Amino acid sequence: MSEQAQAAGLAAGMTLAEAKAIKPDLITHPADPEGDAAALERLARWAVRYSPLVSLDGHDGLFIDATGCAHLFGGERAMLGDIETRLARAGFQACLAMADTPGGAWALARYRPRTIAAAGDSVAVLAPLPVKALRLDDMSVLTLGRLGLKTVGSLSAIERPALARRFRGVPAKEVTALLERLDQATGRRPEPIAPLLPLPSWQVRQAFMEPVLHLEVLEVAVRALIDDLTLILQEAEQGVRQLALTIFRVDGSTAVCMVGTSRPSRDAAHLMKLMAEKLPGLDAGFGIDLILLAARDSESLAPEQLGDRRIAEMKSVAELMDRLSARLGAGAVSRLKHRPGHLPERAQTLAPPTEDRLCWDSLPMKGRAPRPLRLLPRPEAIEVLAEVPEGPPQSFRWRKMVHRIRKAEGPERIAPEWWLNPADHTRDYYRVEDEGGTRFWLFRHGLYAVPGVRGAEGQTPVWYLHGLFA
Amino acid sequence: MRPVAQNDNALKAPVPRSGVDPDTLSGLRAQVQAIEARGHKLVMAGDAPAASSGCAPENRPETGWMHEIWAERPADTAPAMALLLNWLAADERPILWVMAPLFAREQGLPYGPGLAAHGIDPARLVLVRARTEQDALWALEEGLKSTALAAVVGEVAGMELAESRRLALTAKERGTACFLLVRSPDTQSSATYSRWQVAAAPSPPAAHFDRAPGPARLLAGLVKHRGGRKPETYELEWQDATHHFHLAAPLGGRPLATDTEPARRVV
Repeated sequence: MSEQAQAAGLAAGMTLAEAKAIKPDLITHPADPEGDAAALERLARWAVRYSPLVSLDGHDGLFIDATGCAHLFGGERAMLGDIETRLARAGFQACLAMADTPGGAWALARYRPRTIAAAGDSVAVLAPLPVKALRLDDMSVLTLGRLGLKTVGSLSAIERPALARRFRGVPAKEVTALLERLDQATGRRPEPIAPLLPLPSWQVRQAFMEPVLHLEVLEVAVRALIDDLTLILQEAEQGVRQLALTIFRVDGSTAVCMVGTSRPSRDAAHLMKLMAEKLPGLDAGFGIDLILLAARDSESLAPEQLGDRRIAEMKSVAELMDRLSARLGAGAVSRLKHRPGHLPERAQTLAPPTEDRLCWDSLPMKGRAPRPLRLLPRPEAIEVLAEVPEGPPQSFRWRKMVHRIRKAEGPERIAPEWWLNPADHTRDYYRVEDEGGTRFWLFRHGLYAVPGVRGAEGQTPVWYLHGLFA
Repeated sequence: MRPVAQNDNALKAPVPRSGVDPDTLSGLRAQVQAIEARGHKLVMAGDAPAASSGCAPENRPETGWMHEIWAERPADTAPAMALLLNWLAADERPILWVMAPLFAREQGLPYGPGLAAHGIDPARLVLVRARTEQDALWALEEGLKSTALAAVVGEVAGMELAESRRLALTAKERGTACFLLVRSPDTQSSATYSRWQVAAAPSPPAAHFDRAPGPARLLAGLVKHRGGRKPETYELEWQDATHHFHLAAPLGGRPLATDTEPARRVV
């Protein structure tokens, strides 16, 4: 509802017909709660430019924890002014206030906009405000009104035992809630606010006088920020695992790009290389007026001994993996990891490059059945001429080529993992060599019936080619 | 580098040229020629200076260069890979293994238990599955710039001369070895230092059961060498004792199909 509508005598909660009766030329829009919530969240992401700790409040408010942030904007008054101008420019009408408690700020923003309550002043500043400013429900406000308690000051002037006496007959829960709201506003009880975005360990920022449109300028700024951040990290003996760059465009929208490292790093050149991969993908829109660089995830990283070849090599490989992942995508770079599975395809998985425990030591080396150098992504069905019920194949056709088998070894029987897939069949693996000398790994999936010994497993056993040997 | 003298097969011990009886030498030469006439060319270590030149199929080729290994048939990718692993087994450092999209689908991924059997710790592999050929080439080049790798291996469909020259230059600048496993042999030119063509070869009978495949054999043909080595084909045989492919013993390596005399087993 706009100010003009308010002046015309309209109020929230009226029916549309009522409002139209008062002001026939009223412009109305259908309510869109989801759209409003999304817009508020976008606004909250934008507000991170003022402080990393921003949280949503109901459906129409934002809390910004400005502790230690105001000096970046030239003081509290200037900060409020900055927020208001920027919001107004983006078409938002905002009521702002600052206090030493979230409750106090909430009350002032709604009843005394543009007020800044100095630390410890909350009680005095809030005193003349109506009790509704304490974020109370209508029922409590009504009860207090009946008791003649109209302002926050009158409520806080009454001693607690006396207040409880007056509320005799009202559920205790309600009285507690009332007192809690009062205490939160005056700061007697802490009110933690949950941040919308994860809080960074460290954060550096760079505002631009003129909106930045060119990649080169952005790169220079990011490089400077990374240098600053690595200095801080060095002092704290920390290394970063995840780095987030947030850009704030002049139109109020934001975008984030993240890079991860496989081991903690504070190497400015390396981090810049990773970031440089991502920067061209950012859309500058109508220009960028602020960038924030945050170390989202950091780990302790003691200064390293210089000249240790092994450490240098490890670091160099880790940095290479980071660069590859940054450019090709996280899934493209992987390492082979062993897992204790009987089925060949389950004995190896692909682990992310950050994985330290690849578990190949647990692979038994002595007395092992042969394993191929390459394993096909899926076993491929082949047409096979083989003895029934059991026996090595004589020839097979794979990818339209017929291979006559000269030598075969097997079977190596691998039972299905019945605890995972009870319907799976036994596999009999054969290592075979064709006339040309190429060695393959084939298996028969399922068993033929052997009269008097066992029944068939599956309908008709099917042969597959699973791997290639040297 | 593994000197060939470590080989436990007496036939392959290097014989000083000066100390050889000329009759023996000519006799051996005649024997070689007889074998050559029957099929591919076999080389005896005593006769060939291949090992000392550093470009033997048993020893790792020169680092700081690009080497191509071609699989003769589509199914020969594994033997081609085995030759490469033979070169890389002695080094302990990580290997960057870059695969173009087609390869993983058609030839599968390197399989850890199989690698371990070839003396390569699977944990050494850093596997890159590139979405495009272009990405694969970029990853190869990026890998070559790092000095902490034993080698950079690319499984690519082939590349333009300019691209291969670019990789060769990076390899030379940084001194990292670059190996390309190329699948389809065609005669396009490239900046490679050496080119090998690998095919699987029939194995000798296994010790325990003569109808089972014996120790793996492969034919490694040196097709091109910028260092001036003559094109030559070597037959290699896997030896469990050393966990390595060695030159197949000429006697044991006689084509089994003739069956005129019992094949000698190589221990």
